[in-house]
Amino acid sequence: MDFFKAQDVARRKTWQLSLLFAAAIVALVVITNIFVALASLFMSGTPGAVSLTEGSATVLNSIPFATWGWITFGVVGVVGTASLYKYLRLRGGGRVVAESFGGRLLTRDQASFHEQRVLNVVEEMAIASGVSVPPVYLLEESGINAFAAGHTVEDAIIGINRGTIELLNREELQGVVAHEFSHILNGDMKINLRLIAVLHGILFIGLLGRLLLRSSGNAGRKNGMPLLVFGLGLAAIGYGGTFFGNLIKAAVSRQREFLADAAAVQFTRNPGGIGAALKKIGGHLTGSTIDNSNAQEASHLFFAAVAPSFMRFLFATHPPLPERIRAIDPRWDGNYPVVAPLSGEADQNDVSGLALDSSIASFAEAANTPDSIVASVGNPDDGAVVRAQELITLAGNALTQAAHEAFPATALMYALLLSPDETTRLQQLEQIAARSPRGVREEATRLHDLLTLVDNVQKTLLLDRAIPALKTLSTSQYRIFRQQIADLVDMDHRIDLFEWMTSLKLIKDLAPHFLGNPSARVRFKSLSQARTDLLVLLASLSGIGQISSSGRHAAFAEGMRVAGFEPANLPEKEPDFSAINNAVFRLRSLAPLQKPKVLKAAVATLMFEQLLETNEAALLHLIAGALDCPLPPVAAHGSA
Amino acid sequence: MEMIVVLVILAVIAFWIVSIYNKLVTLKNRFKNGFAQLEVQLKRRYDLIPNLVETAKGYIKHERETLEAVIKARNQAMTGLAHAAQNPGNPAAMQELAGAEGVLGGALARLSVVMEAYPDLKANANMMQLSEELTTTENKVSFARQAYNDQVTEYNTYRQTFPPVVFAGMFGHGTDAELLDYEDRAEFQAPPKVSF
Repeated sequence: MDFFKAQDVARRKTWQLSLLFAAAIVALVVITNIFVALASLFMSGTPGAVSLTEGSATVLNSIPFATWGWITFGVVGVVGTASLYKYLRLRGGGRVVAESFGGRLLTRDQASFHEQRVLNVVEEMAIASGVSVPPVYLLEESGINAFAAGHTVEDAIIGINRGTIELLNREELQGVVAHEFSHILNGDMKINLRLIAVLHGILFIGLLGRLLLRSSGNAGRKNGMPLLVFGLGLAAIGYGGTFFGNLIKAAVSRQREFLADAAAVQFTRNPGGIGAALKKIGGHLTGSTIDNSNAQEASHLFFAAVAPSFMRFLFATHPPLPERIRAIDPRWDGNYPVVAPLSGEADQNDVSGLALDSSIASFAEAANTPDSIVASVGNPDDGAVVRAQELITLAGNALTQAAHEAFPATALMYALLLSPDETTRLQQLEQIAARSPRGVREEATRLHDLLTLVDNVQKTLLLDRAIPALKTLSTSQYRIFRQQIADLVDMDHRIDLFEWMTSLKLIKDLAPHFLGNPSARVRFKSLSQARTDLLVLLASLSGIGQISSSGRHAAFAEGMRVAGFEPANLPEKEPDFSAINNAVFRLRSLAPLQKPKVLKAAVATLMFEQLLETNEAALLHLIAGALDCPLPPVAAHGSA
Repeated sequence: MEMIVVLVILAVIAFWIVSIYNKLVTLKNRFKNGFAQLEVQLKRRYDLIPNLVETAKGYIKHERETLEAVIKARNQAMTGLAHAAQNPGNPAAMQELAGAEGVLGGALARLSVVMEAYPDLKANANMMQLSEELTTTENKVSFARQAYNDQVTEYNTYRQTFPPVVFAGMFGHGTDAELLDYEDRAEFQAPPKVSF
């Protein structure tokens, strides 16, 4: 499915979910009221003498109207509190989910072979999809499973089992990771987190009932009876609620799993990878099970079912394994391969990024058009993966290493923002030395020298790859870092658009992780509401690669035409950075289906002279990222 | 129907307490993760020291005891790290590690002074590279240590604020976690910058 449509659908699904939740609460209120009525009927002790209908009418009349109100208040209050609690807790983002499953953050410097390999695979897939690299959490579970969690691309994490990274080979791992990336790109994750919160509320009523049942045993005969009845009722209601909740969960989830499987095949253009991974689950003794009890209520997050489910057709959050395999590999003979249990050993020769089928031709320099570029948003194909691997191989070793560790990664980000002008640069370095821990200044100087050797596309890549390391900063270190970034930008008087967008992206990618998750809301349903913002963006882009003033005007006019607006005059004054900042921020809150127009207009402006230069491609990547449109690496003219 | 009002209030309180518990666990996990990062850097540093001493041995004729002191301090710090890694934040373990780190720092500083007397050693390419690596690793250690200490402080502060302090003991978060605290010494003598 087209990325923008998927986002749009996901957004509307959130509404559906709220409606379902409301319906579930109404149902619970009604059931509870009926139960109370029946209970008082039972307790009023009117035996067979009165006919049932007559009796119930009397009893119903005898219950004061306010009682119904109280019951309703009670149910809504309890379910609401429980859901709200879970919702607030999940606002912490993907890492809260991973931590609650007992996940351990994988970092480069302590990684074993298998851990290193999965980090490489995730990194490649992230760059191929055009998103910054998500942190990876390892669950010490022997089953073959994985999950993605988060609200947005920025706070997304990938969780993966020990069994997955050790029992699968690189291609299979790639299939699984691609499946998870499809959840990240399609906006499935946000719905999944909301679903957890909603289900938690409904489930809680049942838990409460069980608690009351238990305490009724201790409460002595006299008080015990009403408690027992009340507890039984709540338990029944709660489990009824859970029953329907799980039905919803299963229905929402199963369809998505098929879609994600299909996307994984598309991303890697290799049905063998994910197909073989699924078959291995079938042949593995522990299959895809997860022992952690917290994982149960989040079963819909996972790659495959976390527990065998009876009444599969109703409750399974995932389609049956054979069905999923057949959807990918119709000629499958129905036999699972024998999978040896975890041994801790594996073939050690495919750690690098180059193990991918070499028969896939190197990424051809396809003819870029605004349409083709925008169509690739959120839809990386095998070409994007190969290109990502090429880019990673090209990246200098020293710079890559710096991006993978917290301390040098901060210095690397400072180095990216150092001014080309020497006087300013020295001032900036002074400022870094004054505020940062020892050695950052020297590191930044060293990395700045290395950075002069790479192009802008490589620089954006380094930014994307440094994100997981930067996310390991402590909160106070992050505050200093953020202030430092802002100051470096301020001090540079000759700052260019690329540098500005770099700092913007850095802040956008990191803020949700450290400061909670202020997800962007849709504020503009139509592009014409943000016409001035588009104007500012295109005006600033028109100056890139155009020397003559007439060229600028023409590039700007072309952008406006592609966006579907009447020709407008290029503003006299070049927009300043706070104006660009505002414009990008507002364009970000456009409805998903409006964003392709913005991107197309930006591409058209940048490509006015037909070719997309390396610098322009890098800028495009940053702009698309700022608009929440992950753009796979574009083959740029003149890039290595 | 007071019962329902009570029930709702109870539910709110229960969630509030559970959220305190969860936050304590989360913060504890964070500083443990922080310690894992620090551990990597410290290990890397301990791995460099034997090479450094091996190279120095070829040049340093007297003051052998300085070299031995460095190795001894390094081994002690390794033990301290192993203990601390088993139980990050445990006061005894952290103090042991901090003490050992202090001793190691002192020993390295003395070695650095001794090396002043051996210009050949300081000009040795291997030595220059090693001390450069040691300096870089030192920086990473202090960065990771800062992060760990920040995270511990965050945990301790939260634990001591009013509502959590009532429940912290019950939930097994009764004691403060220990910072890794030692004098941040001057960096190991970096090789002289060659200037033209």
